[in-house]
Amino acid sequence: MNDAEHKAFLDSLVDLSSLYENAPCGYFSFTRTGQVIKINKTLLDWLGYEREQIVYALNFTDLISRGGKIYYEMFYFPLLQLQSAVNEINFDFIRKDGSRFPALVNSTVIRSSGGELLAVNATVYDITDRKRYESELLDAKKLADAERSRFEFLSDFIPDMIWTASAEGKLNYVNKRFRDFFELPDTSTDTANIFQKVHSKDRFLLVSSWVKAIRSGQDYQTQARLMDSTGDFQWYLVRAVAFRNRDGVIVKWMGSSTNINTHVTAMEKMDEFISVASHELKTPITALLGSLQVMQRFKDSESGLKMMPRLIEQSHRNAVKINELISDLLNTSNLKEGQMALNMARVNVAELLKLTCPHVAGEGVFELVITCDPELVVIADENRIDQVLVNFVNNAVKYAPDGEQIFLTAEVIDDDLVRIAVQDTGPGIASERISSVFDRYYRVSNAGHQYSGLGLGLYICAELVRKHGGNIGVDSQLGKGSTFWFTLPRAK
Amino acid sequence: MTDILKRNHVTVSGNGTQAMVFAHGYGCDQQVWSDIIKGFLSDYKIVTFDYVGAGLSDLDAYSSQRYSTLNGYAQDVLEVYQALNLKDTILVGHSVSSMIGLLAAIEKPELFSKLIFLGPSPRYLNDGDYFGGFERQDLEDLFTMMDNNYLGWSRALAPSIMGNADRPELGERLTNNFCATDPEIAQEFARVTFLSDNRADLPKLTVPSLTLQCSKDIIAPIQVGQYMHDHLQHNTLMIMDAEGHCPHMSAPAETIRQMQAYLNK
Repeated sequence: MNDAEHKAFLDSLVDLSSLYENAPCGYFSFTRTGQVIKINKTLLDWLGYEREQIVYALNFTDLISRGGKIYYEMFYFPLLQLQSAVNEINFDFIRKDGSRFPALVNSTVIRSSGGELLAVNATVYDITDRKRYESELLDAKKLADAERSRFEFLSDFIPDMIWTASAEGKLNYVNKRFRDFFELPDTSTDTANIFQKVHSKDRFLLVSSWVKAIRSGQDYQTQARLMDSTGDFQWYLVRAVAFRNRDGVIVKWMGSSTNINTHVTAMEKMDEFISVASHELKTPITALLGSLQVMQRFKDSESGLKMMPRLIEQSHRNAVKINELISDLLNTSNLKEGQMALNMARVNVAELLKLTCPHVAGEGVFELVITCDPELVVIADENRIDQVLVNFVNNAVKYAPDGEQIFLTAEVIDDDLVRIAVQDTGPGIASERISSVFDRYYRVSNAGHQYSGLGLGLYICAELVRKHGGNIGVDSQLGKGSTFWFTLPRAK
Repeated sequence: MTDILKRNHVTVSGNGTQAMVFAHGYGCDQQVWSDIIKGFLSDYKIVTFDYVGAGLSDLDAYSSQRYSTLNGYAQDVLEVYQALNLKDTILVGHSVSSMIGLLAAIEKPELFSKLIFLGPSPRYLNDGDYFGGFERQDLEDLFTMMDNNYLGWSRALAPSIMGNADRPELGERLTNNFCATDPEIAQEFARVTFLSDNRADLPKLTVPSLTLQCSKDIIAPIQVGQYMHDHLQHNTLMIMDAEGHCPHMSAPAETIRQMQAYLNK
């Protein structure tokens, strides 16, 4: 056998018909009108038909869905005419038993010498699996999108700023609150914008402790003042924890920034109060100790005995002062814990006003001018309300020492309420301070003036009045004086 | 002012004086007429165009609102007429363009001497006693298919279609291969086409018309051709030997013959 004969022999071994019939894809051919003229075994098996049930018996369009038929007429056929080849058109084939499978069809056109379309040869790939993966992918994507939007919703509406950073410490996600606070554009997590809003005194600590956390992998926690949209600095607690993968390697940092300004301010006030209280207590105790020392040293001498009444009087005055301060402290903690009980009774207001503050009235420096209906009666704990009046009057004396008159007025402001007011003619209170005067630990401090006291008096008054179900307030005009007032339920 | 001739990629050819205007159907562009116009070039002035959204029309001129009804497309036709100052015309419409032509001819009957409807249907959906050929489910099926073939579509398009402004010969070459619209526009046009109902408009047409009805057309079955004929004034119905919905492409010779027979009557 020569070479050519050998090749011819080998060619004869290729069974084209078997290859055609058993290819892993479907083959079929149809005429211009769609009539099927040849089909391979693979496609027959997929469709569940016998050969003679299809060939010269059915049209291509009989084998596809209704939507597919419309598609065939409106797109596929015109496209075939114009392009002579159309690839990867997705038709749903209908099996003999009515079930469907999706397939991609590639088609090429056979034309006559005159260019007339005679037949179409087509290959068919079953894409059931691909479709399933596609739809699973689509579902997975939908699920992921839903999870993501749920997370973002949660993250955006949480009152804290939430952020994440890469293992290297680079910010890669911030929630809406974070973005709004730092006025970041939509996608940027540019740290330059952020640092501008950190108080210059806190920047170093913020960054150095962050670098330390990244290096050590330990939880990050620091406090810093951040500038809000009005330009005010507020204290924030900035924290982050490392998220590790299964091997223990840090892959992400999850962080939050929480506004702790109220907390920090309260702590600052508390510190200040402790220092004030210590100072206030130390003054009378030092004086008391001094008196006692003098008494001890001179107790046996005659001249010492002469000094005794004055020294005892001094000691007593300081002990009373200490007692007042401690009562205030006790009142405060009782009020705070809700342990103060009120002895409510009918109280004649005119009597109450007449009898209050004998120490002031008796001294003759100030005149207490009382305006009150003698029949007016309220429901109150007489001692506690007297305490409030004493506080008001003492304040008037303290802050308006040059005044001569203090006006005590009681009036019915509606059927059920009585308003009792103490008016002085002092310098008044600046409007920005008025809202704070009833706060705990608040002390009026004018430039050049330092007033003694714990800053608890008005706070205790406010708490007492509130416990009576009344309101408390102050009206003041700079240079004209202040009117401290409160309301009580009227008795009928 | 909008250049209508550019917007609708209007092409004028032929040696006659009376104008024949060819309006392509849904899913294609003016190229589908290439075999048919050969039969009329010597006797008529031939006008073909692409609806906005199809073929080489200006896609930027597409507006979902304007083209949310077939009347929007009818305005395209009338604007082409105005731009070319066309009168006494024969309008040939395939498929949905039969209804678009009908609407245009109802609005301005003086511009039309005859209408030729190729595979027309005033209503594709079955509706009570009316047989249109489709159930709503069939249409959902079609819309799904269109979605599925989005990728197939874009592959069928020449990938270099983008950015050929400096290579006009590319656009020239593409006109021979390109028979698809933007997929989103195709979807909207499909909905407008298949969900419209122009049965009430049929009696309003005063211009004489020909209905060319294919035997065995699943898009416009023979009952629908009969319905058209029954409800139109001055209508001639011819049943063709050609099968399918695109006789102008699958059987151009017979289509030309039938049209000529009607026009020369």
